[in-house]
Amino acid sequence: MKYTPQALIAEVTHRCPLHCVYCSNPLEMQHRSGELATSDWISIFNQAAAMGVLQLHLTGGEPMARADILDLVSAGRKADLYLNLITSGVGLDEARLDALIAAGLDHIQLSFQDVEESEANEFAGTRAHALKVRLAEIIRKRRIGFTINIVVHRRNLARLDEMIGFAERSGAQRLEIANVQYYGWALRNRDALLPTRDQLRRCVQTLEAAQERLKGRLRIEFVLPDYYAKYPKPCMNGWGRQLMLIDPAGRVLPCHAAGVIPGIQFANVREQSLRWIWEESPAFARFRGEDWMPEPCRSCERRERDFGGCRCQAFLLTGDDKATDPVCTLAPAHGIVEEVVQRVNAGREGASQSGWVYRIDPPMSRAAQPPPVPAPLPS
Amino acid sequence: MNQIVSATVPRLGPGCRLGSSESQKDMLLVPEGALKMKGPARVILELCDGQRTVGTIVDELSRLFPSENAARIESDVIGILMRLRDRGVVEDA
Ligand code: SF4
Ligand code: SF4
Repeated sequence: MKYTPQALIAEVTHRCPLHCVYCSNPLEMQHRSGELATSDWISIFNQAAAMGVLQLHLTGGEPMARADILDLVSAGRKADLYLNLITSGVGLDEARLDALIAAGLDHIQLSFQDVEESEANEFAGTRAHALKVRLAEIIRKRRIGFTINIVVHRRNLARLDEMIGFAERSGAQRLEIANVQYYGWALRNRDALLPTRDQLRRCVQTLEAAQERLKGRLRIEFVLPDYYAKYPKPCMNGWGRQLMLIDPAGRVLPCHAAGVIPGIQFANVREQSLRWIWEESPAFARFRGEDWMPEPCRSCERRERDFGGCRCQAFLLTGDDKATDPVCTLAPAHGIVEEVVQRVNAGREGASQSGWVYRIDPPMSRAAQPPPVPAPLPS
Repeated sequence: MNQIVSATVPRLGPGCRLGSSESQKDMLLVPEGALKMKGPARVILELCDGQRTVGTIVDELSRLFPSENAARIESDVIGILMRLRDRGVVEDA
């Protein structure tokens, strides 16, 4: 079976001015000195396009922290890739936005932590909210694809209506409501972030009603927290089937969390061609097909749809990367997820102010230096 | 939402464009990924430039496909554009 990659996620830097309590980036990050050079990225974009990749997502960290971001955008576009910039907005202003659009940017995804300023700043550990709101005003005046992404969790789901209203007024064509996924930093803060079952029920109702009401004006997409799902989500549409991610130092991974699995050697574009890595490298072959699957997946009729769930989550929760994803209600290790869900639902809703841990990263370049980090709000 | 009629001027939505290389010829690239354009959809979308009305598009297609019935072409064009507009990838200019 031959797989054609559809999208390339380019993590052009791990530097980020925010310190989100649910960051899903790896805990061990690349420092600036190890980052790929402009010419490396350009070669990658050309190789990717030749392999059939259609979309390029520039992300980070904060991609605007790269001084060569304009060159990266125009090189990607020259390679005939659809160009999406995933940004927190820090480091972007009117002039830089216009330059990006002139360089061929197709779409911008602006991430928000909340619609309430003080809360948003608290979740991000940075005062960036007001700037994002101003930036949305600037983006809407231009003809460019615009998606607002809001990460939701127990402490902000109550404001879902306001979030939808904000997106509606913002001029964005799409709203992504993304539940925190529990990898990386978020796993440490899981008990403070996982929504309750009641919250989730109300939230699904609100979203479905809004989808109907806003049809043709605002597309709303929604990622459920998989801890409450009956079956797991299809892991990036299958390990090594459609996507690849390149980290700031050039390692090529099937997904952003795959680095947590020990014992996998991820090849580097500095040493190998992208095509070889995609087609031949053991890391990409590891969970393709079905031979690796244990029971109950191996004989489950859903295996073609969800591929046994997330390999990283399986490893993080069970210590075995081949295990059935414990969020699956059929998984032998489902008890682990059940227990967390019970603990979270036993408490009073929103009651858990239980301390969370902020992410503190390698220093930013001066140009993109954020305002000072405020002290966490007293609870 | 309003009906699409002969005087409507359709265009691709922001962040949506037709594939630019030979291998992406039949693809409509959108933020979510790519939509494969089957049959006449690609030709129709190429004509959705924010200048032509649906009426003009139908006339041009009738010239391209003289054996087809013009009323049929018009209803096909409107049907396809309505579906794409519901998906948010086509808008009224
Ligand atoms: S293994 Fe998990 S984290 Fe990795 S792509 Fe699949 S779902 Fe995502
Ligand atoms: S048993 Fe495996 S294949 Fe079946 S639903 Fe669960 S994770 Fe998916």
